[in-house]
Amino acid sequence: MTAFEQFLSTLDERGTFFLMAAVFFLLLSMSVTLLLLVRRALSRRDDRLLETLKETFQEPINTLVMLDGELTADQRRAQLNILTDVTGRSTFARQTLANEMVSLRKSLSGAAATALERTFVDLGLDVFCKSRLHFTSWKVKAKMIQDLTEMNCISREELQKLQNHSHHQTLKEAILIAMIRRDHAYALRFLDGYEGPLSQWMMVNLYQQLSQVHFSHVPDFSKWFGSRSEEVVLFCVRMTQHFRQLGSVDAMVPLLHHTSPRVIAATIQALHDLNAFQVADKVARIADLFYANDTISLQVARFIGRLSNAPAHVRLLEKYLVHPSFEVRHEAVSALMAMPDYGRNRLMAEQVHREPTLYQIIQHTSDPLLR
Amino acid sequence: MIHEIFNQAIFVYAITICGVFLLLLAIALIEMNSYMKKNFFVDYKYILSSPFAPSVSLVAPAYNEGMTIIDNVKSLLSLSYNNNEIIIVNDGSKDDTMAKLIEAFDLVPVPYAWEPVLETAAVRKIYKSRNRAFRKLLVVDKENGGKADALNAGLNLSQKELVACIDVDCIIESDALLKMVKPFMEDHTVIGSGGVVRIANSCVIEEGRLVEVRLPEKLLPRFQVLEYIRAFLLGRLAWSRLNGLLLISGAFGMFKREVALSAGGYNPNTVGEDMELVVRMRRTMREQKKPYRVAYIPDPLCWTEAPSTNQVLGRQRNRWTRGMAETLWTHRALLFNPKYGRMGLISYPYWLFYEWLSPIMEFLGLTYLLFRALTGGVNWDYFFTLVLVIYSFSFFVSMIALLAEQLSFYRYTKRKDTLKMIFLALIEPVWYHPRLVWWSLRGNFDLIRGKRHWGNMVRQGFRKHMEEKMQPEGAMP
Repeated sequence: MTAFEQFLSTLDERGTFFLMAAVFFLLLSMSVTLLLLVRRALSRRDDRLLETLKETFQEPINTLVMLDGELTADQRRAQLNILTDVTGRSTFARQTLANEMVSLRKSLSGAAATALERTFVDLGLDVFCKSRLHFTSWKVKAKMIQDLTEMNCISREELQKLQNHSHHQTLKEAILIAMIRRDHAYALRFLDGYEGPLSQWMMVNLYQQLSQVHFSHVPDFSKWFGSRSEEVVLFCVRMTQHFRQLGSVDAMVPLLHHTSPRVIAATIQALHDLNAFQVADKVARIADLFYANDTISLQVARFIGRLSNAPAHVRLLEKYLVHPSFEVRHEAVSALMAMPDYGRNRLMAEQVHREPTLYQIIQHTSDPLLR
Repeated sequence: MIHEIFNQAIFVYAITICGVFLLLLAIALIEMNSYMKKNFFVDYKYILSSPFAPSVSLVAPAYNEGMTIIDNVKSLLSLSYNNNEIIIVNDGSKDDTMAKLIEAFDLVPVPYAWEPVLETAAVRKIYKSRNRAFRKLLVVDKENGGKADALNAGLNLSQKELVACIDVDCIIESDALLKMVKPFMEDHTVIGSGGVVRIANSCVIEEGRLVEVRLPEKLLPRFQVLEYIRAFLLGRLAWSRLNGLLLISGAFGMFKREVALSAGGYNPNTVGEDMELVVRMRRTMREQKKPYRVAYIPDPLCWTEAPSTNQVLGRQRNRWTRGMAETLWTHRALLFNPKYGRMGLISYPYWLFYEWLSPIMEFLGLTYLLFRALTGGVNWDYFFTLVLVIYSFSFFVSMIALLAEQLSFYRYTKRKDTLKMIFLALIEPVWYHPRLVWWSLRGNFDLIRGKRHWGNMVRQGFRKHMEEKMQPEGAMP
């Protein structure tokens, strides 16, 4: 009997269980260690290969893009051959070349961008990227959609087809953004019957894409003001505000009576940014209804303070001087201080006794470093 | 009979703790994979130019930071974000922190009006810079009241939607704010967000920026690198996936200001104010029946200097244990309370039984073993198999953490570093872990004795200078 067998014989059921568990975890740990070391070696190798490939691709790409008009057909083919010789070797090389060209495309415009896009197609990278759209991984698909959109190699119909078959949220967002770049007016039709959430993050992305479009091509967002979805209405009000669609002011006014206080606050903010002084009475009229709502009161004070000095509106601001919300009181003081026929002296003489914090706020607002 | 019951209890505890850790490990790996894929496409620069980006106040309390305060503030001012303000709260420093700030940033007192929603020690003066380049900077000079009190003063003065509470001496990655605000933008129910904190000892820091990541030269901080990777990259990520995260590190956390204020801000009467705030915010939301989520970013966003001596590390861990125990005691009503959902049924019991109780169980197990050894009742073969299973399990967990780090952020790129970390994982269970158990026990003992202060903290400093900051009661390290 060996020492180990002797040791095993001394263990009861629980001891044997522990021993087996220990061996199991030790073997697992060794496998993970091995995986860690192999993975490390592979990523180092990939990094080196990536550097070499990037260096190899740099010169031919520059020649093809920068000297596009000066190259003869043979010269062009020769440069393309240099690239295809390398990319023919592996998928990794093809993907690296595609990545390099896509990243270069972001910094190019005009003829150079067109030359780069043509080169991308001539190298068959569009076909390569499209073949990867059939992968099961949503990450690969989304990356390919981004690349193909950047290189102008995917149509609205293709994107539409992909959208119909996509279930992953991030992939859907990537397709939507790609569609906006291809055909923004069509892409935004998703808002028609949309009832899901529209996060602030999605708004950031949509705004980013739309801000690259010429302002005259940005769709009129007021057509969605009647949407049943609060999220869609909020999104459209904010887009109207940021794209300064002054023609939508009249369509925006009914939103002051929307069922959602968030929409009302956003509408007043948008009207303020659009300098819609003509609706000051309408904004002031809802002030009493929402006096207890801090966000709406703050927006009303800001709006009135900037766009009106009618006596009735000044009285409203005076009412806000004793509002329970500190921010609203602050805004009301700022607004009254800025009025030429009101100002600091009148505030100090007539109002400061009404609320203990008003003196502090007046001091704050008077200081040039805090304005 | 008693021996059998005790054996059985230790056995059940060991099995369940391993099972829970394995489960958390699996959840963390799934979440990591999902996060990496999802954020592969994200262009954070969009947030910089977007009018939809939320506004952020950075609140950084400073106590006796005269040696480094200027570089630290410059580093904060250089963070990539547009709609933000930086509030430095001088918590009654006894050194030249305030004088240096006034001189370097051309500060002058201003009549700043604010609403004292949270009670704090008296604010002496508030300063703004005359230089437009520093227009985002606001400096608050107040009486000493401790870290929580200073953070509450910052919360009072903040005028932004989100508040990022940070340790002023941490190195924050330049895109950290962009990454931290994203969860708030993706989901309006997010009330707080935490990021990974890493160890900066021996890293190359220039002008408040991390230039090169290096493994610490000293052994003790090196162990903490491994420990932090395990805790931040795996543990907290798993809890975030389960929406059961109870702790956002005090070194760098972001909260919705409105929710933090309505929950009552930081509790100045605990040394674990970071955990306590998160638990209270969650509890408040639950009691108000509002949907909420606490998010977590696995990206390394914040680099901090780890204690490099046993004495200082011991004090830190002692304080952490006291903080955790105080929070668990304060919120004991949560335990197995279905009214608080997952927090009451899963997160809180986990923290109580597997975070707070585990060092006590280890200690009890060892004491029992010693007793049995003295009375000749130890089955040594059984004991060695038990030790082996614990050792192999902890080595396995560390290796998974290292693999996860390599597959995700891969900050320690040198081969030597990888080998050193594997070696650390091998010796950690016998060299480092027993110390943690001891300090944790001391923490519990000190708590029972009524110790409430933070303890002294000696820092090496990123620039190799020696700096000692004597802490008064309740002051921050």
